[in-house]
Amino acid sequence: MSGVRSLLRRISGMITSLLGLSILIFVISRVLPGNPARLALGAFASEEQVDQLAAELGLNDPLSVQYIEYMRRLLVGDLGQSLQTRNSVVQDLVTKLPATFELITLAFVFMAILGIPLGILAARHQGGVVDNTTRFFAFAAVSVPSFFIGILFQLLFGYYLNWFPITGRLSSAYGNEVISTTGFMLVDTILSGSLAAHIDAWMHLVLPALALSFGGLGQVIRITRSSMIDVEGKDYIEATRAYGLPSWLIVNKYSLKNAFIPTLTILGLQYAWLLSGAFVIEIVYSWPGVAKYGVQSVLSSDINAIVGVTMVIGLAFVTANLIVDILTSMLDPRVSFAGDST
Amino acid sequence: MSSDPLLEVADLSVGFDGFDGYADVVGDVDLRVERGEIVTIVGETGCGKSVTTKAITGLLEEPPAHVDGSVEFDGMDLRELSEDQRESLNGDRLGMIFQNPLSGLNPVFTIGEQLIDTAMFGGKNDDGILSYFRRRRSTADRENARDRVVKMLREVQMPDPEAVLDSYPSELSGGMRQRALIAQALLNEPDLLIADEPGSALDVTVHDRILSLLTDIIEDRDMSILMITHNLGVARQVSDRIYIMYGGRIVETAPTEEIFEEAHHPYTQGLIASIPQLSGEEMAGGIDGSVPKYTDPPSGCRFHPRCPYADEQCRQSPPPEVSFGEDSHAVCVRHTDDGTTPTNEKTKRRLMKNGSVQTGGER
Repeated sequence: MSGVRSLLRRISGMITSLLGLSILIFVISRVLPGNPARLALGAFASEEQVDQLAAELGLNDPLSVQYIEYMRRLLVGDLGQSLQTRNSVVQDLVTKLPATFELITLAFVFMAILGIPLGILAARHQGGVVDNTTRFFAFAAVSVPSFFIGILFQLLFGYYLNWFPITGRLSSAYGNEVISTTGFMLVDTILSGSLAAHIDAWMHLVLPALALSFGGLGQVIRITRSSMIDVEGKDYIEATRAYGLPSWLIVNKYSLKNAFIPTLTILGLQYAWLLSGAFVIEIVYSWPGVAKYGVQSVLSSDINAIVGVTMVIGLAFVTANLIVDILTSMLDPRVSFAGDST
Repeated sequence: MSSDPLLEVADLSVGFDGFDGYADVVGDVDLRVERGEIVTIVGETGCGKSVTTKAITGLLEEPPAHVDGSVEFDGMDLRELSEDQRESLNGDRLGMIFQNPLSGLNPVFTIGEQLIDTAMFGGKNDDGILSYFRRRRSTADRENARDRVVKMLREVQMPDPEAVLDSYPSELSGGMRQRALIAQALLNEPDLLIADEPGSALDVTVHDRILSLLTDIIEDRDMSILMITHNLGVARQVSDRIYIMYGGRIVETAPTEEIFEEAHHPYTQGLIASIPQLSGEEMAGGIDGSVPKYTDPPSGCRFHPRCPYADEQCRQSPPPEVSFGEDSHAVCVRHTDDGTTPTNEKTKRRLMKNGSVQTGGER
């Protein structure tokens, strides 16, 4: 099967998944307790005002009519208006996504560049210091809730050690210097030509990203370790030793490529999971991202915003999966990313 | 025979720590390979052949393995070498062909990548990671290595070697993969090749072709071979001298013709009796029972539970080594007492009396 055709097949599969997701959110958002119109207008609005808004939003129509309208607008990319911010949801997402994107990307980079080498080290020296420390660390990371880790980091690195700022994306001192053009603070500070602001943006980013990566990092280390150990016992690795290949070459080239495939799967899933992890971390660090926006929209029954945020997360999941599958098929000739065996 | 063997193993023993306790697998193994000689170790599956060769090549991880004894290769004690020295010896002077061609090649690299790396970096060519990147970029080096690989693939009669270089192992047949493995082992022209049942995982005709290919290649070069097989027929086809192994012990050794003329150990005789023959003669169905459990091996002679001659003496004390000539020894007590001396005929009759008469190999 040609590459283009497999890709098209996979993309049509992704669309089907997203379609299923959209139906699910529609149902869930319509059965949530609370009247969205009342919540939007506040406790002092009159009954008539609430009814009027509900009618405007189409909330009084039968579900089937609401659904058709919802799908029609979804297909043209219109997510409606947010009831809290009164902006269009698409516009809200566009302004908030870059902050979250920056955060989870750095968290992801931490996971990959710390997790894989530590996993290799732990596998090479089983029962050694790195192995035992990372094992403890991995268990701790999955059993301690992420808000706790977030607060712990704030206390330790922010408050006591005073290495990093505790909240926000940028110190207020630079607030006027930096013009938001892309929404990515690291890029905007460069575009504004302020190196100091750029460094400041990094300092703000590191702590929440580290806290966010914590849970996944443990997993990446453990999966890298166990697949390295698994691969080391294979005939073809033993053979490379018998041919006298240097051990650094065996470990870092021949074992690692095989062992990296399971790690890649975990990394791909983690990238999407980071988005859900960000729900907590963004609140703790007052990070003005899409996850924080999502939490607020759930709390205020802002149905359009809920749909928007959920679709973004869904899209992230299916895209991460597709990328992992494509990369896996590039790494392993026995795997075809279309999902059928060759 | 010269007195300067290429490989001399003395008193080798290997054991493993496991969940069922300590497994005493290989013990008292003495063997040697002369320059230019082809030697086979024959025994049933599970009798310690592969463990012995892995101990020789240093591929066992210690612990859980416990290796003892001396392994001398061309005057060097391999057990004393550092990891670096070992790496430069393996591949350069010691080659190894693995048992299973289907698992011996890394599935996620092309044949070319694996073979060219072996040609460039196998053996003594390790100058560290920086030189790796420099040499990989050097087209002259790479072309040179590539030419050597293609030449070697031609020599092992690989069809269309240039195309094979760009193939992944999963795209090749079992026979082609075995050829690639043989080429890989021979790339750096080792002095001693250790071959663990080459081709036995393949079907019979391919196996046969691989064996004759291997013997042809060896004849062309000055190389010694230590080959492992469970098949006496294969041993007869290729080797100068044979070691028979049972339960992790060498039970008999002799030049190939002598073993087939007159075997001395009942186990060897049993193996010979169960080779199918074209004469249509009845044959023994094999030796009843199976290889011993290494965590709780039989006392005395390890073969006694399956031996048609066994008596109290065999159960109690380890048997002595008896010499029948310069290179011919057997480890069996029956040759020292004046009672029944085992012969091929007697053993065959006893085995036939004991068990089923059927066609079938030694398994």
